Amino acid sequence: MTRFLSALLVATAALPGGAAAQMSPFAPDTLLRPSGGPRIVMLGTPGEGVAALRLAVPLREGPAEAGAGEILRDLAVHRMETLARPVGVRVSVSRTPWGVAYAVEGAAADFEYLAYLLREAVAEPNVTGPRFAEARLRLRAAAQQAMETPEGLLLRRLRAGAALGLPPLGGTPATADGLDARMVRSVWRRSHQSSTMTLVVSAPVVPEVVLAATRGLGAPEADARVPIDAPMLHRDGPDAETLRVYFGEAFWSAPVDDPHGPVAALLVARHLQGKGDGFELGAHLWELPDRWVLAVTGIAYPRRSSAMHAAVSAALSGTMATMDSEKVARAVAQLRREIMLRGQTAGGLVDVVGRAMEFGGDPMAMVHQLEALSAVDLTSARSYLSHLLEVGPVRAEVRP
Amino acid sequence: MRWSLAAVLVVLAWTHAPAAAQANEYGLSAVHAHADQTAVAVALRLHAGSQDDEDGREGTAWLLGRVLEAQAARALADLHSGAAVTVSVERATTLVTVLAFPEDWRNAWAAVDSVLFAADVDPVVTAGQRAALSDHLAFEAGSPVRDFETEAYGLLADPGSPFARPLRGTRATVANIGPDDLVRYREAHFRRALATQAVVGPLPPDTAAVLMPPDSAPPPASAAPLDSVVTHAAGLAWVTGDRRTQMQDVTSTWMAVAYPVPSDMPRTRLELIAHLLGEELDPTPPDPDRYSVGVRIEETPRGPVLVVEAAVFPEATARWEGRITNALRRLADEPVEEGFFRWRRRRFRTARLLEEAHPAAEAARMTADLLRDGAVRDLGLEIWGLDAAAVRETARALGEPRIFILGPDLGGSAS
Repeated sequence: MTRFLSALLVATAALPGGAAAQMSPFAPDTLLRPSGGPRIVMLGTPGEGVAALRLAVPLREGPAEAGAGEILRDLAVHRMETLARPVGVRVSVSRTPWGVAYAVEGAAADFEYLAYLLREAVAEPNVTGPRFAEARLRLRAAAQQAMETPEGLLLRRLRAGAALGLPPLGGTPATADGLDARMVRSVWRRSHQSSTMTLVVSAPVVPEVVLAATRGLGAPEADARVPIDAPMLHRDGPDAETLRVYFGEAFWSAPVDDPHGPVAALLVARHLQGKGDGFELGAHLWELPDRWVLAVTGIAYPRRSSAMHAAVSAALSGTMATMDSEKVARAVAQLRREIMLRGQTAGGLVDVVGRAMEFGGDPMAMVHQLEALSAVDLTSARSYLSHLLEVGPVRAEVRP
Repeated sequence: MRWSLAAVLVVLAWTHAPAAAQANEYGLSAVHAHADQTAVAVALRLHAGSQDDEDGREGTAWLLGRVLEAQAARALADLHSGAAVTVSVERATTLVTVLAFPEDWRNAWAAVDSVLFAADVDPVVTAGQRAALSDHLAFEAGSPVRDFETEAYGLLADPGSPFARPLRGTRATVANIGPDDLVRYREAHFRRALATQAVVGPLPPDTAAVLMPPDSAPPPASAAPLDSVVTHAAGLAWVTGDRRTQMQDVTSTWMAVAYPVPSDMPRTRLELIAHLLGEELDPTPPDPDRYSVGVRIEETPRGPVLVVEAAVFPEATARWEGRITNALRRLADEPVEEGFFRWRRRRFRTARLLEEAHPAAEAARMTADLLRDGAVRDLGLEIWGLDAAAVRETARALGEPRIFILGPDLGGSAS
């Protein structure tokens, strides 16, 4: 057993990064790669007596399968909450741009139970009961709702333009109708393979315990290896009715771990504050699997429509013209604070580190992102915004 | 095999040694080092609250808290450190909490300490915060929730006690408060020597010795020793129970049931009782007649009090009053099977662990422990030490309840 384990263990010294980076609480203590099992990343334990685990499952949907991950998320939440409530464990399931993440947090003394909850979470979903029909209804209602409001429709069009054919995570009303039990089970079998998962652990336990507790996760080896290549179902419906003009521009940049994206979004949002003269302005930042999308939107009654269009189109150049070192430093400080606040508990730490790892798989991703964030300055922020402007935006509009 | 191994490896992971209290310029301080924490939390509990407001200037402590929080946030923003500060004003104390990155928490705390004790009170910030508070009070004027709160706090203290006055004052009293009043309040009541401080995070063991910012002034000679803070004597806050009702044309009924607790009651036991009562009264799925229900422990001038508050459908008032009092009676009288008790204790422990996983929450609790007991509890050990007999004993030791009910007149159902 000891020999087997030593073959799996990768000492911290072998991790990339300098000594300071390895001392960061966001840096892993231990990496494990058991044969056929999930990749395991063990972190320190920020609070005493608390354990947290986050299991990330990569999931790519074919166009006709859009929304299947959301249904899997919905079904897992119900299953986990039912089991977690009696012992007071916290559970959550989130759909990320790269897959589905299952998380549990509770007393370290309940570690076995936490691991059991994760096994249940990624087990084959019951797609024959009423819960499946309810989940599909909820998915459809949410997708329909997004199409029925002018703002939802605008954002959807902008995202579609910037995401280059990537199906929306929440699907569309048509794909929701087309998602039957067979398709959802097929997506689960294809995606929930133990060997593709990544488990991030913060718990006062030794690696042997984690290895033992995570055997037999997920689906057996599946036949279907790629998403169903059928085209996305479309159905024409009435456009959202509106009295006002909704207009937006979306800019994108890669890669998604470049901290300039959030810094730029924050600077643009602050620049837009108070700029709406008879109209509304907003800034949105979306994380796609490979890129950031920064969208600037405006809403105006027709008589102020021209001014609103001009304000939206001038948002990035205006931000560039007015920003200074102080504004950039404050934006960087705010983003660092948000990461620190999110990572202050065991549950938050595994979430921050696990999510950063989902893009690219680097266990030190969060450490590197923090370093890169600290290095953002006026020059680099200007250069980033210039690049966005050079590439140019995608535009969308919803009119009365 | 694998399960027993896991059990051995994780058992009693929370049995760390309690943080030792040390005396320094802040009165009492304690440090709890967590090597892998991403943030350092510093909490300072000042022995100054709304009960110290001058007559006619109720709301001074609250407004000062808002102003200092805004000024401290500005000072931290100037450091570009990413640290965050909150100031929470209560009736008897004011809690200041700073969360900072490990590499610059000392600078962050020094900046906040300087604002709290030395910086000029900014008249522009004061005017802005006063206007916001006044607007908020205007919005709440006539709210039955505020009427209920005022009366419910009246249960807990002597008639006319400043403890029961509105925490945020009234529009009339807030209008009387200017920067000079805030300065005067701070000079009179913000005493480092009467404060308790706790620091939680990835800290070296000698942190306690260097908690004070180097340029801080020494404590004033007139500062009272810390042990004068806890003023209530052993015994119960009151001996005789009471029940009052107030009819008002509202659509819900609010009720408060307050039990006096012996002041020498171990705090962890009392917290377990509060947790058990909360679970009894608000199970999943919830009672359809309740809008909200909560259980808390109040530190009053006369001693600790266990308070249950509920907002319910008016027709369910009598049933809910009985439900609350019977729940406590059952805890006192009915024997609990040991296995069932251990399960409930496990839930209590998990809830506390998750709550205190936030370093700021742990630091805040540590300052309260220091202020009340002069020492920080080792919660892990204390919770494991609780048994079913202790629950019964604690429930039996509570005094007669004082009950206040505010609701519509339904032909006698509320009285």
